[in-house]
Amino acid sequence: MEVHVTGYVVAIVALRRAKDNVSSGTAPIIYVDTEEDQQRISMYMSRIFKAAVHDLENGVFILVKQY
Amino acid sequence: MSIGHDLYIKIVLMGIVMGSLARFVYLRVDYRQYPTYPQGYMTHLTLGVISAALGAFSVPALIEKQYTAVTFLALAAQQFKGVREIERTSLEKMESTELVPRGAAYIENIAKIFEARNYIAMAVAAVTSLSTYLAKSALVGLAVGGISIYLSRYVMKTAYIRDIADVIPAKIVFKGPRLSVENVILADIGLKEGREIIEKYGVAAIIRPKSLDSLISINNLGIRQAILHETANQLGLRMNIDTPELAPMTMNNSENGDVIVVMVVMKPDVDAFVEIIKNIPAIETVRKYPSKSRGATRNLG
Repeated sequence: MEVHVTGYVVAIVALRRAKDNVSSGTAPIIYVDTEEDQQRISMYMSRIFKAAVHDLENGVFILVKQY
Repeated sequence: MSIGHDLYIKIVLMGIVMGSLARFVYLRVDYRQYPTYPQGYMTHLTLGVISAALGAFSVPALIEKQYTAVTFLALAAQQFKGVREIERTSLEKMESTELVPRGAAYIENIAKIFEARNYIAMAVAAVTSLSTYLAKSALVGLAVGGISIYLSRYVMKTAYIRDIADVIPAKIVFKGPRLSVENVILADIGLKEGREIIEKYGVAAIIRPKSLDSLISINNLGIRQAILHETANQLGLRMNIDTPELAPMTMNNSENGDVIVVMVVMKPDVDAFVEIIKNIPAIETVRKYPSKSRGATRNLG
């Protein structure tokens, strides 16, 4: 049987101006300058990690691996 | 008491024929492509013939006062439990290859049905050979066997979602990144690209339970997984392994117990979507009947 980690934050993509909304934890934080960059980078990472992107609506996107 | 050779042949033959026929009647291949054609056919028909033979032989054996024959029936029951085990493991093995898995409840349901079908074959065979013996006529056996096959349909009856709930088409609305249907938030979709695809190709339906029993049943995660699996396999998903935001999902409405199903499909046709959900079996293994409990009915008022 394969064992999967579920509900795990793989990475955080945050706008530079929302810097105060994130602090370090288990996941790496990637800072971007524009919202377009945020969309693009998180899309790339979503495809790489097969993780879903969630918008916390405070300038922070988290990538969560469900299964 | 001994039975004449001719009658003996008649009893056993009629039992086997009618029992096997009963198994054959329940051997259907539909859109689910299960059992796999034609190998699955072969496996299940062979087992069906064996169980029919056991049923058919049990009657003359008992008449001849060979009571040890009963132990063979117990052995047969053990064997059919093996059938259930085979079905279960083979379906479980395939789970990892499914984009949307069947879920344990659905697998258990399928496995149980396969086991029950063998018992039906055995029972029909036993009834047929008993009536053949009593009437000393193959024709009577044929008639009684036919009737019992017909009646067995009531034992094997499956309920469908349309029997326990109404399925209503719904609309997907995005509130910022939140995907919602009828004010119930299902997910938070961060990617703009994902939101556009869901708006374009997403379909949604509300499953509204008809009674307390169906409310409890429909909110079971096993039945919801079965709905997702069957619908996804008939409409085709746009989801891939690296686009988890397009995964199909269900969510219950905590206000009234409705279940909302959202799916991103190849051809967004909400009517087809609703029709498919209606015709999904309401799997018996997870159904509950709280209406038969005094406490639960009082609770409702």
